[in-house]
Amino acid sequence: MMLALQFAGAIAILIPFAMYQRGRWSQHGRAYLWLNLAGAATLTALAVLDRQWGFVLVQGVWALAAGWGLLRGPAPSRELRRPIPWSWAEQPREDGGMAEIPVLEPPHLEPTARTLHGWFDRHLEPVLTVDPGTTVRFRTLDSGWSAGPWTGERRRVPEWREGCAHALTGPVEIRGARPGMVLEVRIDAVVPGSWGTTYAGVRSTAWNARLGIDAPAVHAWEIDATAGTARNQHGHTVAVRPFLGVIGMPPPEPGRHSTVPPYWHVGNRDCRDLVAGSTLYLPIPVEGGLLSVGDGHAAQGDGEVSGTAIECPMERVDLTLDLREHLFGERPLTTPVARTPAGWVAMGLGDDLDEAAAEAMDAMLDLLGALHGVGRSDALALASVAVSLRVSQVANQTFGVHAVLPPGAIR
Amino acid sequence: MTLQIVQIAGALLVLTGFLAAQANLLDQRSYRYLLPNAVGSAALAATAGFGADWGFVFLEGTWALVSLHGLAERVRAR
Repeated sequence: MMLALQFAGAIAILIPFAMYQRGRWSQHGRAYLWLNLAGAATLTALAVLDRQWGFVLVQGVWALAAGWGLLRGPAPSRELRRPIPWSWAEQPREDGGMAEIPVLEPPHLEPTARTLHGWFDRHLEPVLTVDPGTTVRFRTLDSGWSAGPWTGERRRVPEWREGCAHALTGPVEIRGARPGMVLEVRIDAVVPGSWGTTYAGVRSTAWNARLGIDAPAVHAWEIDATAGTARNQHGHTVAVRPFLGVIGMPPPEPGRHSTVPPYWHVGNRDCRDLVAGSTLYLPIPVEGGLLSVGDGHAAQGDGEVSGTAIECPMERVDLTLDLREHLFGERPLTTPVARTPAGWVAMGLGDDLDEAAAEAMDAMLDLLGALHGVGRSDALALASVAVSLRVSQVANQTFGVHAVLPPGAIR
Repeated sequence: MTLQIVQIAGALLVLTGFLAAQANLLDQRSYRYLLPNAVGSAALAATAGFGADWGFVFLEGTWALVSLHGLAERVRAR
């Protein structure tokens, strides 16, 4: 009988340990803690009867810790609360320019026939396979496959094919990435090319009709990345704040998927806060991740209201790709979350802004729980005084809202 | 007496890692967690073997093997 109880207790402790090692369970999950409590309490009693004081110590403390974990709920994550390690990032200066970029020699991908594609497809062969923690350097075309600046017409590169949407570079396979894990994308540097284009009113849409847009406008921009400005043919100058509109992975469903509507695994998010210095956390949808990037934006307002930003090629984008089992303890990451110079950002999507706002807030409550160890009601109360909802985009067949928690807003 | 000392030392090694992981100070796939776990649980398994406590041998032996496997995975992934 004693032996059977010993084995039962042992199995109750080993199951959660194995599940954690396989990345299935969180060490703060209720199943993990309950099984540990039951197993350790049983083994403590048996060890007392057997006068095995070392086992009394280990199993007794184990049981107490598991019980405490159940009573306390998830602990605030120290890792998520660490300050942004700015030293690795290319920092946007106050005036919009770029600080000096360190010289790196990472593996790099050029936009060539081998790497360019205009859709997401999980069966697309990776053009590069890297270990977690690797920095990859990309050069990208503009979203519209342009061969050069606007000259009254769009000239496309020969690799463009009918049916292609955004010109993406990739895909990059990350060794060990599997569905359910989190891809950490550290955006180390984003350097725009010397030109870009903004289009407005070029298609007949309900949005354009509502706004009374009855003629197209195309702005051709000259970009000065050093000065941090862009100037159009009419003499208007704006500050440059470059980021990638698409940092995405294919959905698990087979076949080709358009790059235009954003998905839960990111895609065309067009969130203007994803500048250099940000770290993006994405739920991984397929084995290997298969990350593709593109859709350079030299500058964009919240909402991307004409449907385009300053669409530009990127001379250089350095991304460090890493893997995590979880971001929020036992709750899976279901929508992209980022740590940016503007603060923590949780992104939501929907058929309308209401749904997009709800999705963004859902992730923000998880984030607040992980950061401050609070339940969802307290998180909502804190969000109501410290978090701002911003419209990411209204332009890509889907609506996007991102919730922003500024740095130091809750101490 | 020696057995009890070894058992308590092993217990402390395993417990330190468990408590640190629960406090979010240590990842359960880090060397700093896996190495003390492997050594501590191997010591506990050995002392349980002397006392013919086969349930504890099973628990601590498996624990040591899984920790060693975790260490091997980490080394392979480098």
